Amino acid sequence: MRKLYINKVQKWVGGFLPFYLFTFLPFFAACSHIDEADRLIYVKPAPAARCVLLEDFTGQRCLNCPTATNIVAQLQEAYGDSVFITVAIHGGPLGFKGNDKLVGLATDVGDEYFKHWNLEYLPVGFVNRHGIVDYIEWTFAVKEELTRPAPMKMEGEADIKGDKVDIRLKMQSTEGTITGKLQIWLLEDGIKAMQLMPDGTADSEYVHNHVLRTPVNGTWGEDITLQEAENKNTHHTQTLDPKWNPEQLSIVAFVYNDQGVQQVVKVKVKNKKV
Amino acid sequence: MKKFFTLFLFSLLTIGQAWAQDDNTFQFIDKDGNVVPDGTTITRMELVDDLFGESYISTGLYIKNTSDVSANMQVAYQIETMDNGEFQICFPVNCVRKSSIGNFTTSSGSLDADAVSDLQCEWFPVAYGSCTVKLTIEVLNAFGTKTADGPTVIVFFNNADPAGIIGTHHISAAPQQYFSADGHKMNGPQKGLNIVRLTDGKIIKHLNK
Repeated sequence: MRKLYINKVQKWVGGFLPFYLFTFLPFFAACSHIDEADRLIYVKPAPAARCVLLEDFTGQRCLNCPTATNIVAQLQEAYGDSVFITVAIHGGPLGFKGNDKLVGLATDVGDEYFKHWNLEYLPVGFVNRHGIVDYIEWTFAVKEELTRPAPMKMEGEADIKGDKVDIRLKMQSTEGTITGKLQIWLLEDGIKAMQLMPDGTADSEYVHNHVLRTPVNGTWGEDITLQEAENKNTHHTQTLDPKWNPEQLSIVAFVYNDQGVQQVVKVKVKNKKV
Repeated sequence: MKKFFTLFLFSLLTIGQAWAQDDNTFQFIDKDGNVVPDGTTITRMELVDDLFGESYISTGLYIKNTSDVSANMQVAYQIETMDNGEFQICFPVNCVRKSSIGNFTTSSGSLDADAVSDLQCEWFPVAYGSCTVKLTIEVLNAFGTKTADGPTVIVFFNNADPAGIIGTHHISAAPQQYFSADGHKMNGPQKGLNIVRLTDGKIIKHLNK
């Protein structure tokens, strides 16, 4: 009788008990009380810091453009060039594409932007693409834009590999889904080229900074959609033009849509040969 | 009824007169500071190299604020004729180029008391020919609303081919009427030979290439 009982217990422990434990233990566990504060919940990404993009339409034959450039320099000093990011777009009838004697900074894409936005005069610009802003109002427009929260984060890296610039970007939406265009531009600083000055003279040693050299991913960029909290990485390359100084290049990347520029980042192109 | 109509017409004329009244806050002056009076027609022929591969003829005009306070203004410019090239004005804060005739206005700006500013206004011809532009200073209030017309100056730019002028004539006035070689009146200069009646009554022949 005792042996029979032992056999039953052994059979139960060796056969049914593991089965019951395996099947019903999760139910016991699920019933455990977890304090509300200790539960795993979705955490919204931290808000992103706002950076501002100024598209400065300018031209070497525009007498008043150096005055606008001085305002840009003041803004960069005030906010730093990682927060206040400016791109000098040379184009329109006062732009200069160069000849056999003089360096020209105007480009076909600069002309295309000038025409697309129906611009009539220089200097003029866009602050985060919220409409045309006269340069005398840039300071106010930038200050106002910096008070708005940014819905996404952007960071990037760029370096020269062979005869190409290798560009890696990381993006994350911090506020809902963002649909728009990702635009990447290549800029060059420190270009000495002729500039007409406000007093009517011409300065052949004028130093032009943050000059748009070329768009990297097409004139109007490429489609992009960012889900909230999702990390998105992109990779682009741009072939170097022998006319560009590799030590003076940088990348400006931004996401824009009908509500303007959502976020912008500027990264210096690293030249590993240095 | 007739009296009422006359009174109404008179009122309209008075309102129109008030709108177009002269204001002496601003004056056109030349590089030496001489006043260029309202209604003057000036001729400019000196071609200057702009160092970018283009040449221009400047108005040589400046604007002076004759008052003892800072004042706002803009310049209305009517490009009446332009045989070729582009007209450019960099005043007071922006630079703009126009390649067709029409009526335009610069952006507004202010000039300090007794200050002088270069009008920076030029015609960039690309061939022989002429361009006529009427410039009017418009006086604005603090809100940027036009309150009065200042002086008007007509500038006749002439990029003449020395070999193309048949019969020597020192041009000192603007063209008033154009005629073809067979004497038909034309709206503006045409390619080939033009007979031009100037505002001073003189008639010249001009070959427009």
